[in-house]
Amino acid sequence: MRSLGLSLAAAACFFQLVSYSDAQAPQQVRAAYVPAVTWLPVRVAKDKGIFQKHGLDVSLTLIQNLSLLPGAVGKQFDFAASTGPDLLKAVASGLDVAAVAGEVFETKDNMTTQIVVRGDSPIKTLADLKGKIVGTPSLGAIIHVSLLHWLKKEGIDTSTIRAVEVPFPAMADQLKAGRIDAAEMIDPFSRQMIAAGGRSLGDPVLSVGDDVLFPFWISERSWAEKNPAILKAWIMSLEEAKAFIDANPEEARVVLSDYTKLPPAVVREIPFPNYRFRITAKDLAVWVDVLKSLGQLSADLGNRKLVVEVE
Amino acid sequence: MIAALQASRVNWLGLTTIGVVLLIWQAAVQSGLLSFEFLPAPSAIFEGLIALIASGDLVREIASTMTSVLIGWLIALVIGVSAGLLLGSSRALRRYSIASIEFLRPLPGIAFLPVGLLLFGFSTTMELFVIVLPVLWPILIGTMGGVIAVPVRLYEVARTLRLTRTEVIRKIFLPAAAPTIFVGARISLTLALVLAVIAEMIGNPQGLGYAIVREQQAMRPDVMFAYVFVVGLLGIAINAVATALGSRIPILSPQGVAK
Repeated sequence: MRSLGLSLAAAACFFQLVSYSDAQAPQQVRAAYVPAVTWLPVRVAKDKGIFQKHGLDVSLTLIQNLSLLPGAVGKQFDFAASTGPDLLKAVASGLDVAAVAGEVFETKDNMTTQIVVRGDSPIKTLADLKGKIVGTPSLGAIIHVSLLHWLKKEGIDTSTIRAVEVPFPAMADQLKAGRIDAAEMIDPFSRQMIAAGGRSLGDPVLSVGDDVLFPFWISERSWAEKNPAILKAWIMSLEEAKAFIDANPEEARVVLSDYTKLPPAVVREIPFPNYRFRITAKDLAVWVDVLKSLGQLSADLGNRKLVVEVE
Repeated sequence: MIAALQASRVNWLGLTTIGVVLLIWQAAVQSGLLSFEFLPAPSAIFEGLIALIASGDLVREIASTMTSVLIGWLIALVIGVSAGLLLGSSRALRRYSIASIEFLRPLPGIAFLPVGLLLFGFSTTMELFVIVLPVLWPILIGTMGGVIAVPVRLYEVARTLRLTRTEVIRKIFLPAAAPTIFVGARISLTLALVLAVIAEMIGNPQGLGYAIVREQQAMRPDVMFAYVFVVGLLGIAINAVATALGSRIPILSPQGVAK
């Protein structure tokens, strides 16, 4: 009887040890991001062991085309980079995805997107874009949606501009050659174009409002709701990474250079955007209104949960 | 002189054309006639290529792309030859399927990329999915055409010799269709390279295609064009190997079959 008691006690200790080591084992998480300064915190969190500290074992995949990511969420990735239009269109088409963490908020004090024209261009205001060709990275991209919204807000018929898809690095040459009249640009490409004599008409994203949710992280909604602890650890890691970037900008730029492969001069000059990771449903609601006003939301989202908030 | 150059095994005239184009390009950039951020001079691209070779990344990226090309091509070869033999030998099957084949054949392979991404994610499997379908058609059509063109007297020979179905395929269909299968396979191999690069540029973050986009986004047009140049060289190399194979294996040329 006594030996049975001892055996049970030993077994209990063993299972306690196993469950303790399970609790200590880092949670494996897969994430996809884009090689731009926007996603620096996730790389800093990975490279500086911050995820590990918060109990996450994160494998990162670099993807060039952010708009293709919602379809891979829940299958290949637990977290993926996305934007308002991409997420909302994915939800409208039936995908079970939701925003789970912020990344960059666009503000007047820290603008990352610009509509750039040549220095000698006759285009002085937004209204002058009528009948012109605008270069966009993608017709469905957040920057193009923002420009359409801006035009509409200013009472300009959006059908009067013609948009053609041009990769960011090729925009400057296309503008110079006169193939496009204006370019939808992001840092560091816009910065370089303006330094070379280009002129900005303004930040299209700010037409949506000031302090606007720009790119952010999405997950499979059902998975996110079942894993609030992982979401919390993800956000806390990114917040700690942001603190690291603020405190060690030079070291952060080394990380930036490593994954973007941008020239050293560009890496030195590029400003850090306004990183913020806690988001609410209100942050995404503005994009629902924008897409609706442009007639780009194919389905009524009704009461669909678009953001899984973390306490 | 020109006759001697034409007779040489090395295509000197073709190489001279490439050399002249590069010289004009270099002169246009250096003189400022072509002044674009994203169009470097051939000399800068050459320097980019040297840096790329020194970095050691190139071999890994070529290996990655070529692995996908060869696997995708082999899958297409097996499916294409099998389906081509079936369709070529059965008039009824041909009647049922030819409309579907003619419908699917002109569809651009890259149009299947979003479907591939949904099914297989950002992966090599997705890349193979994008490669196989378009690469399949030249092989299938070549095989089917070859089998249809088998002379009637060979069927009579098969009947006289009481060959089994397998023997007919092995001893009559395959040798008769070998030259057209080979033509299809050769076209498909280069096509597989093009599709692999495109699939990597858009969906599979590895290999030469991904490297082209990566360097473009990293504001390194010299290195980006160096990668494009490597893809072109690979295309030439693939074609040269296939041509050499065709000339060395008698059954792969129509004359060889006739013999």
